[in-house]
Amino acid sequence: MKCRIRAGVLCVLVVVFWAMVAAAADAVKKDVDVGKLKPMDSELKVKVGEQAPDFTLKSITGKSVTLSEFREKNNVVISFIPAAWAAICSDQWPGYNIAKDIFQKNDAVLLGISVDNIPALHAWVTQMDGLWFPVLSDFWPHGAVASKYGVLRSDGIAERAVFIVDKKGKIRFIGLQDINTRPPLEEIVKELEKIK
Amino acid sequence: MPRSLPSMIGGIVILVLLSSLLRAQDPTIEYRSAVAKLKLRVPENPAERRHLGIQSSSGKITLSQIKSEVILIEVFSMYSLPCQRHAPAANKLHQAIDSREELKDRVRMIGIGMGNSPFEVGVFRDKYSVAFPLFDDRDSSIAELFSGMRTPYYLGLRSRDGAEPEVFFSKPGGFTNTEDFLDSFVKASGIQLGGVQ
Repeated sequence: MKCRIRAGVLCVLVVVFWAMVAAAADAVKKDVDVGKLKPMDSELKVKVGEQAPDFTLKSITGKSVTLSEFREKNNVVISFIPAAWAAICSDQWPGYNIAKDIFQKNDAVLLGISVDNIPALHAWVTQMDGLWFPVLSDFWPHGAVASKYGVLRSDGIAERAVFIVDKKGKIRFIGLQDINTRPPLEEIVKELEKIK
Repeated sequence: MPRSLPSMIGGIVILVLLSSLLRAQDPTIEYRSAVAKLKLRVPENPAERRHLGIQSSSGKITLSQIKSEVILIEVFSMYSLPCQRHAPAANKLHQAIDSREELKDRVRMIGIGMGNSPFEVGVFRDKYSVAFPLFDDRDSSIAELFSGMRTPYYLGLRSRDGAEPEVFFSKPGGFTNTEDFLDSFVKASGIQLGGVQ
């Protein structure tokens, strides 16, 4: 009788264990899937043709990167993403990561900016096997650079936005994307090719 | 030791195995109906068209227009890190099919870049030197059909007696051992090796 009870208890434990595993997997999915957000929730503060507001931000390597240091040397593609670990963001920069040659061919450097803090960004980028371009943290003062460009949303995350700045420091392209969708890579390439 | 202990342990082992099997099943929806609705843009490359036996040189085709007894599809995305990591293994799989005399004229491997434009598919092809035909999904119609699918994802289709190809194989994720994967794929296809059916 005792053995039957034990067997019954163990069976229940096995079932509970797998239910917990399934629940944990679902919880991870829910954490990543933030649902459909308002496509845009900010007002641009810059225009094409204007001088790009300068900024200095710390990268995940600890090095500071200043936009104006690329003046006369490179075109700069600034990619703001809403949040580290979010599904679409985790699907956007890995695509840019295999297009390094295309950026280089167009004399362009890519700067990735997120309002997340450095440890969170570092963990995320490490999980992506690293990225060839600098990943900059606009965490504190929170979203200051995103705010300067007018792409900081009311909930504190940035829009999914691309700014292309030429070697003179002028904004040549602004790509504001619905936050729920990934911007097409060829749009950036097409705009870079126009600058050449 | 109680007499029933061995049977109790046996029961638990069976339960664990059963629950593992249940969890190992593909949790995603079946993509069979989606496959029947797939429309692929005809490859621009004439060599790819010849390889797949596609007659038309423009427009879109269904999978039934690919002349092959078995079609192996890798659904991927240029943006997906798992697909990037898996690209060398997918190339190896294609090479393995081509190197097996009994398979090379009976199995055609293709890739579908879910939600990817022709440009993005081209970036992926160039980056990983992909030698099998890759199709784009410029209007994201394939991404809509396969909504919820995590890439890479493998599908196998077989045509019997000129009928519409049917899905016989469906596997999420990549693989580590090329030969084992290919063997299980061929076994699932039911094609007879060593003689054409």
